[in-house]
Amino acid sequence: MMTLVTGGSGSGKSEFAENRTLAYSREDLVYIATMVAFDEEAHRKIARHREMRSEKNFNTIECFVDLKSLALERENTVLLDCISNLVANEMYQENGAHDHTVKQVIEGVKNIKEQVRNLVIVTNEVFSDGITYDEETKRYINYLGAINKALAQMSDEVVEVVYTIPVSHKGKEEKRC
Amino acid sequence: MNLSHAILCLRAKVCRLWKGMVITMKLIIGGVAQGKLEVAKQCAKSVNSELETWNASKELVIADENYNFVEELYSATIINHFHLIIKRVLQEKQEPELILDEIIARNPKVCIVSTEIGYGIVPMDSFERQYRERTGRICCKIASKAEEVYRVLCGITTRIK
Repeated sequence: MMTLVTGGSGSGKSEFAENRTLAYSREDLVYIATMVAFDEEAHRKIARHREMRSEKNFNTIECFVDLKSLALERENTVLLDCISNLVANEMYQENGAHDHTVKQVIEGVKNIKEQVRNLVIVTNEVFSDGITYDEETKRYINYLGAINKALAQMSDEVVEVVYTIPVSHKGKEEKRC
Repeated sequence: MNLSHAILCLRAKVCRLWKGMVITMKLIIGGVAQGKLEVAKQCAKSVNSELETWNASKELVIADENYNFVEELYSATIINHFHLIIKRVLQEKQEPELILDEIIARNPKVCIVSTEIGYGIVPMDSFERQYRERTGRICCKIASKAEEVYRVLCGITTRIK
């Protein structure tokens, strides 16, 4: 099974995704962390997520680029948080895929999906602030949009988290928290 | 305890229970210029008609980010532009979370209207980033306290909680 969780900033989507993952399985949990700790704020964010995950029994793997290189077990239930970081990493990290980011991320997710039992992916809604950005940021937005569309197509369910409230866009109606 | 005192106590208890069950906080969210305030007015009117027995002459009082005293937020029927109130409070170097706690405690049946501001690129400016993130977390708390959460798009209201 594959679930795509999306939402705006500070909407509670990561916490929802963790609980969705635990609903799939309590065992053989893998967390794929994607955030590069480049400053104090990133460190704080990572610490906050670690705190939320503590005692939930996740085995954490860091993967900043190239999801295709990951080897996982058949019985794993995987939480990948999040696509918006991964896209930035692939575009701007030295060892990233740069112009081939869209293909790289989609194929990387396919690689994980084929290997494991359940996959929950967190992505981000960055498409509605009405600001006209520079070319580079526009490219990022377009890449993430294209990837989100492809992942939604691959997913069994797509849930948007609105201030902790799940709004279902595909698949079965979510139980409201 | 004499009989009239007992009746008064009972009445107060029933009133509290009734208010607690029927009238609760509402949250109305959506993009800019979607008709959120109109929805809030409808919600607030229905609250007032439910309240009629207790308070027949209550009028709609709408507070927003241009308040003179923060106390206005604790008695208003509708709090509009809640995201801008958070911004103002942050600019004044105060804690918006504490103001929300006061609202929850003192004005538990208020309709709060807030624009969804988290659907964009992470801002470069650190204040803007903090404002956006904290508005999200604060609205999560309001949504968890509210019995009813409505999302307005093109003037169409969807109840999501």
